[in-house]
Order: sequence, then structure tokens, then C-alpha cells
Amino acid sequence: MVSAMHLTLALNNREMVTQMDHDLLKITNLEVLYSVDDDLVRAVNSVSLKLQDKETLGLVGETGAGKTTLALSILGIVPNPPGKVVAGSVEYEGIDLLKLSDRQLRRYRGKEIAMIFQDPMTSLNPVLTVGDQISEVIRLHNKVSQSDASSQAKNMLELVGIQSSRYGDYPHEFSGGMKQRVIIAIALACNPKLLIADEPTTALDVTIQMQILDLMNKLKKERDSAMLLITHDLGVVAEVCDSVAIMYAGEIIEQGSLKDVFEGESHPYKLGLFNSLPDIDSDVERLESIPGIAPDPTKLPKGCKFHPRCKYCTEVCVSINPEFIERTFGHFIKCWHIQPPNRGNTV
Amino acid sequence: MNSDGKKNTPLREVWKRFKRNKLALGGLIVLVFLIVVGVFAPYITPYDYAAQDYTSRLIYPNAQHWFGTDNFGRDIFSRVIFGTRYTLFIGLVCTTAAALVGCALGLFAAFFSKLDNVIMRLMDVLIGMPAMLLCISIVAALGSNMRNMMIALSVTAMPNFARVMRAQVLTVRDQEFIEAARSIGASNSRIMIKHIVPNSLAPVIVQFTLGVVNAILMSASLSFVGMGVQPPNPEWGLLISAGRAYLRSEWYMCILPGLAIVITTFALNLLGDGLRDALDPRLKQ
Repeated sequence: MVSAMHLTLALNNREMVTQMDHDLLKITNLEVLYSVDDDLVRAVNSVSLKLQDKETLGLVGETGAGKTTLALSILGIVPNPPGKVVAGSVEYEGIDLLKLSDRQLRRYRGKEIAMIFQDPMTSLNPVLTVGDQISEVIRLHNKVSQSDASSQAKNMLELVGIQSSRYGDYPHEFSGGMKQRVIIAIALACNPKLLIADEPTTALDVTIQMQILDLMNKLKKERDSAMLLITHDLGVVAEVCDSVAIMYAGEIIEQGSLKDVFEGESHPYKLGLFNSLPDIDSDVERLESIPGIAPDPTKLPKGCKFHPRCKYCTEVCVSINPEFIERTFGHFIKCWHIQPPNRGNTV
Repeated sequence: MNSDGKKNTPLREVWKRFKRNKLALGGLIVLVFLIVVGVFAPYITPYDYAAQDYTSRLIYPNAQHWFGTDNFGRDIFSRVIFGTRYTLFIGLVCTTAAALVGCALGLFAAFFSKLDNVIMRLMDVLIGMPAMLLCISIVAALGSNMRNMMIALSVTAMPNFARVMRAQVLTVRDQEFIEAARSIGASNSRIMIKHIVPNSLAPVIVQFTLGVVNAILMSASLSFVGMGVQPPNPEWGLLISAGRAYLRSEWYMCILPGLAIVITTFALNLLGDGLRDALDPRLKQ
């Protein structure tokens, strides 16, 4: 009885704390469907997510887990058709973006929320100079003259480490890493409060990856932006994120602070992810992998989406989808058989 | 930047690749030459193209009359030179009109999927009819003169542009930089004009040169059968038509204007081929 009261008190307290902390982005029960021919692809299933000012949240998951779709639906640019946001809300500073008209939404895109795309090779328009592409976003959101916009664009180029004399160069004259710098310049040109980075380093060399991450992190801190970093690289997450959400088959299965997720209790899927990483201290012939493949999103299994691949699976897993349970303060896990902390996986 | 200090714009890249193709360069030179001839026709022609001289009828080509004279004693060389004006004017204007309307339709069809079926099935109806038959029907309905023939030629050429543009926009539309443009808050019209159209033009330009060839040949054919430019205007198709009766004895009356058509269309075809190679990035060396 006492403990129950204590718990409600604690919850109320937390409620107050989060209100004071001010959620920059609050996604509630978001569902996104793709209809391809007669099949319904459930890309995002009832996802809830919160992001605070200046926070960096890592969104981790396999290919096809719905990470990119989630990111696109924040900006309202899920390709439609075939995609459609069917339920839920995306509140940005208390305003539900899903209820806005396209005209109203355009004021947020690029100005308040900016996105960095996965493949720098294809995310720049090949027939426009990089300078034009940076000043385009400045001119779209600010009433400035062409010359002011281009001097601002030159500043942005310098900021991301490109000589401003390359303002008039075309994308094909840049390397992949340099292009990604240009894209970062475009994304940050209007000082967005939220930066969505969709696997920004996946298409780059390992040597360049670190540079780009450092650059993004540095600029993000200088400009007090929050960041949603989508990746499947746990090393990247450990390096830059404050908190982590793990996605599997369109659901978030575990979420918490970096420390909680890396050192605390665990969803079996996350355990599998960590066990598949090479460990510098142990000498193993083969890395462990998670058996099976991610489920076909047109035929998601009943109950827990992970149960066909889970070694802890029991009857309850097959029939009932587990709740998202708060295990410790701010650390949520969606599983019937939560695994104890694995001491081997310290950050 | 290049070693010569010039910027490497996409246009310059295309020109660099185009220059390497000597045949296409030849085609371009011939075309420029024809345009110059057409523009300065009154200063080049040795005789008035309409002046009749019954003392010198049906003279074979010689030093005074390079292409000979016709049955009214008119200098055929002067008439062929003035014909350049008609031919190029008809070819360029009809194809430009067709390209503008056709590309706009193709762009809308590809960009707004709701319009796709309406627009493209309409284009299919136009393509379904043989081009010549369609032209003749339109001219027959509107009346035989040069303006109506040009309308007919434009309508006939339009669906090809709509198809080419639609196909191209469909591939460009789904590229990541369009998504990126959307993510910075660009509106639909801005995305279409600034991001999609410039990236879709390459095949349209090639289609344009081939369209001009087609329009020139069709206009000559229509004028030949009396459904286009009316005599006494010196259109090439008309010149051939007028010489038809004398083909056995005064062959030059047909052959020389015919040669002008052949040279023009050949030059345009070479130009079109060269442009296609130069604009196709897969053929980059």
C-alpha cells in the first residue's frame, strides 16, 4: 500500500519534471502503413517517443525496422501513395504536426526540423551548385536578398569545413564526405531546433564517419539543437547519444538513457545485438548472431513480434504482445522475459 | 575548376562531350548555316523569288540560274533559299509549341498521380491515329493554310513530348534529392520547376531535334498534297509538287529542293544523335 502510494507520487513527480523539462518532440501511438498492391506493410506500429531540448536520441534497429519511416513521418513527407500515417500524433512544441496543412508544415521543414539523409551521393540536386542549394533553404525561410543569402551560405560552408570559394561548384565535384558536409550545412542553415539524421555515416568511409559525426555533434552543441540520430551502429550510439530507443519490426522495444540501455536490464533482442558485436577482450572464432530474419512486415507475428527468433519465448509471448514497462526510472522494456544486466557490455 | 580557369558547369561538360563527335558538330554547323541563310535570304538571293520571266522558262541549272528556272521562269535557287525560312520556321515553332505543352502535360501526369490516367489516355488517343491522317483531318476541318497546318503539326507532335517527359519525371521524382528538397520546406511548384524539370530535360532535348525533323518532313508532305503552305509561297514541299509534272525532262525542279530537305533533316538527325550521346551520362568516358 505504502509502496503503491510512493509509486504514484513518484510518477506524479516525474510528470512534473518532464513538463518542466519541456518535450521538444512528443510522438504518441504513431502508426504508418504502406499499401503495396494488396498487401499492407505495417512499417511503424504504435510508436511513442519523447525528445527533449538539446537531447540526442539514438534510434537503433535493423534494416526495415521502420526507423526511416518514423523520421519521415515527423516531417510529414512519408511518400503518399503508398505510405499513410493512420493514427497517432506528432507534437512539436505542443503542436500536432499531423494536423497541419502542407502549407503550414512547410514552415517547420528545414526551419524548425531539418533532416540529414543517408546517401550524400543522391541527396544533392546534380544540376544546382552547392551554394545555390544552401541559399535555397535560407531564402525559403527568411526574407533576405540573394546576396545576403549567399554570404550566409558561404559562412555555412566555412562552418562545415569547406572553403567558401567552392560556393559555385557542382555536387559532382565533391567527394562523398564533402557532400555530406554540404548536406549538414543545408540542414543547419536555418538553425533548426531538431535535427533528424538518418544514418548520416552509413554511406561513408570509416575514416570519414568519425569526422562527420564529430562535426555534427559539435555544431549541434554550438547551436543547442536536439538530434534524432538514426543508425544501426551501436558504436556510434555510444559515442554521441544521451538516450537510446531500439526499434524492431515497427515497434520500440526498449528505450532509456545510454547507461540504462547499455548496462541495465535487457530485452532479448538487444542482448542479441550486443552479443553480435566483436569484443576486444575475448578471443572468439565466430560472432554470435540472432537466429532467423526480421519478420515480413506484411505478416507480422501475433503476440510479441520478436518471439519467433527469441530463445526465451514462452506461450504468453506467442499470444499476447507485452506492455512497454518502465523497469527503472525512464528505462522502458517491452518484453515478458526481461533479461538481467549483462556485465560484459559496459560502455 | 579546370586548368583553364573555367567553371565546370554541366552545360560545359555536355559541350565538351558533344565536340568530340565530329559528325554531330558538322550537323550543328549545317544547321547554323541554314539559319543564317534563312535570316539573310533577301540579301543572298540573286533574283526575286516571285518574279516571273517568260523569256527564260525551264532553263537547266547554269551560271546565271544555279538551280535552273521553273515553268514560270522563276529562279529556283532563290526560291529554295526563301524556302529555308518556311521550313525552319515551321519546324522550330511547331516543335517548340508541342514541346512546351507536351512537357507540361507529362510533368503534371507524372507528378500528380490522379491526373496521370486522364492525361496519358488522351495522349494515347492522339498517338493511336497515324500522324499523317491526324494532320490531314485537322487541316481538313480547319481549312488549308499554313497556320492550320502548324496547329495540326503541333498537336501531332505533342504526345511524344508528354510521354518522354512523363517517363523521365517518374524516375527523377523518386530520387532522394527531391525528398531532401521537400524536407527543407520547398513547395510542390518549386520542386517541379527548380528540381525536377532541369533534371528531366536531357531526353526532351533529343526528342526536340527529332521532332523538328519530323515537322519539316510532315510540312513538306502536307504542302506537297496542297494542305499546307499555299502557292506561290516557296515552300520546299510545294517546289517539289510544282516540279512533279516536269520530272521526266526537268528533273532538277524536284531533285534540288528535295536535296535541301535531305540535307536539313540529315543535319538535324546527326545533331540529335550527338546530343543524345553527349547528354547521356552513362556514355561518359
